[in-house]
Amino acid sequence: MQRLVKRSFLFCGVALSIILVALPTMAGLSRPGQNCLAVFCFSITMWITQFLPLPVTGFLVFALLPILGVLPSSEAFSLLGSNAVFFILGAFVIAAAMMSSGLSKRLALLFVSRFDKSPSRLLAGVLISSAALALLMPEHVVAAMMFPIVLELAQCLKLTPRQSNYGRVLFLSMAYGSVIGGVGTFLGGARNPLAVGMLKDSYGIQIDFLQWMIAAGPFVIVMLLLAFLMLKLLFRIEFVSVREAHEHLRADIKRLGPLSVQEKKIASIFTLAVICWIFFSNQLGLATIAVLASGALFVTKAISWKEVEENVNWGIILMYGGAIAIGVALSVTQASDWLALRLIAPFSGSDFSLIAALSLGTKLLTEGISNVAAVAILLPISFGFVDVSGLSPVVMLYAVTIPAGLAFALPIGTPPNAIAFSSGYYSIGDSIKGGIILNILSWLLVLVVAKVYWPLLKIM
Amino acid sequence: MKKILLLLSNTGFSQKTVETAFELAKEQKAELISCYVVDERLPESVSSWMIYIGFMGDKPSEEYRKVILKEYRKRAETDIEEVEKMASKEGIEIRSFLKEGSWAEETVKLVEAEMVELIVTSKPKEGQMGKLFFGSALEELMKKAPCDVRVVEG
Repeated sequence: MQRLVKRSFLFCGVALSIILVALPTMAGLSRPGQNCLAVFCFSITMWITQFLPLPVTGFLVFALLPILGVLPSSEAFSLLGSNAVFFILGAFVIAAAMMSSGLSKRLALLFVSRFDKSPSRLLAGVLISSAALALLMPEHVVAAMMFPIVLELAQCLKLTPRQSNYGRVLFLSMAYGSVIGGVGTFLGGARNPLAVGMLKDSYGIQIDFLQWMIAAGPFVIVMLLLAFLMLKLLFRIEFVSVREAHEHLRADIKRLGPLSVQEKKIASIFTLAVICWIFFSNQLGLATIAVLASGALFVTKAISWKEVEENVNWGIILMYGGAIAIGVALSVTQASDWLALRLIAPFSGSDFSLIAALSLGTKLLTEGISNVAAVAILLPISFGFVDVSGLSPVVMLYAVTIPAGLAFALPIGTPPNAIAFSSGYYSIGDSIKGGIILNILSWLLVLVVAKVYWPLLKIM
Repeated sequence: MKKILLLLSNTGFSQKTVETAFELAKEQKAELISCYVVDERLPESVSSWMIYIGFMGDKPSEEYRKVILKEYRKRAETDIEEVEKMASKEGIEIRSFLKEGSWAEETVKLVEAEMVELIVTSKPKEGQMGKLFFGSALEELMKKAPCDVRVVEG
């Protein structure tokens, strides 16, 4: 059944792309604009069905845009070298260094051990530690790193899979914490710098590291609080003695020994990079700082290229480059405006209903496909709304990118959910129950923040 | 002598299934075999999601796979031990196997090697939702099994 739906979608998507290229130019569209829509339709189809690997679709976009006369080949290929792509590249090298040196595991253990005094505090500890680490490195990396720690905690607390509510909430809090923390900075989810890169290339507006943190910060704080309360109320946790967990964490920290020279080098370079991103990104550029910091890791022999290769899948660069290229092409050919005009009619009453619809659409899409793909699909469309609605593209950016990171319900929504689910401590039903509540709460939070908080930051 | 296979997996332990297999073995004076297949499908899918969607390299994905399979193996050993204890209380002789791989394929291999005539197993606890996302191993087994399969609910 699932395969049939996928195949039908694939067939319809490819057929529509071919029809768009073959049809005479439609009213209000230029020939390059219509062909750009065909490439966009093809990319959406591939990103959703995953008939081709995500990076391969990104790669093909670079060939399709010049072939169909949308952008000159030199312009299309140059978009692979955008600031966002190089920032992501640098951030991944830094994350790889933190993982391979064991610094990330040390940080995780130190964070969690601060909260191991009672079951509720330990639960809050897993949630907050996952979120705090996801502010510093990709959420997927955080979940993969936290997983063995949480699994060992569950084992030493003798929690039975599928029976212990405390086991359920521990793993769910690991997933939720990673997901929530991922929206807080450019480092947590690479979709964030990708979206900012698309904004810069389409409108020339630069959002810096600190501006993003200020705009997205309330989501992290409020969502963590809501997730904690929801987990406690939805799954009534049984009494467990956390003494053994406390001892286990202490023993783990002791086993790691003192901070190694390699860890010290990485910690210093990373701290310096974060300071530069926060205070000097306007002068130095986000990508320049990221590339310099990753270069410093190699110069100081804190990491080898082999270690980076083992920890990072470089396909991401092609995927992100392709997403940026198609976003720019839609904007340059004004195909995004044309598309937005046809989609905006039901929401023409108010800008707020438009934001509500966009963020809801993003939340629904991100539960089923990669959150990067959700941003790559919906952000160019939402930019098209800018000219016809009068809303700032910055609002569109936040209204799409923040909800795109917040996938809570399905194990296939995002790797942290899948990793936590594979523990076997909770069922898909548990995941959906908790996820739907958090999805509704996070969507409402986007609306409240868009109405009350962002205008205070002059984002409207 | 007729052979009955009590088939266990990491989708959940069912007391009712074990009891049904014991009753059938007693009634039919059959030899009872138990087999726990550590199903690698879920860790494999998660591992490939980590590479494909999470863009993580081979090392973290492989480390994750090792951790989760070790955990599944530990659970399998506990469940097999539990079944052996229950059988001993009932005075039933039982031979146990622990296998890793595809649940349906590993089971079919054992059924053919041991010439099993009946498989007794549980309905996966994930139900329709699990089937939607991860496919149905039980359906695959029903199609491929060269003998009868009795599915116990609950």
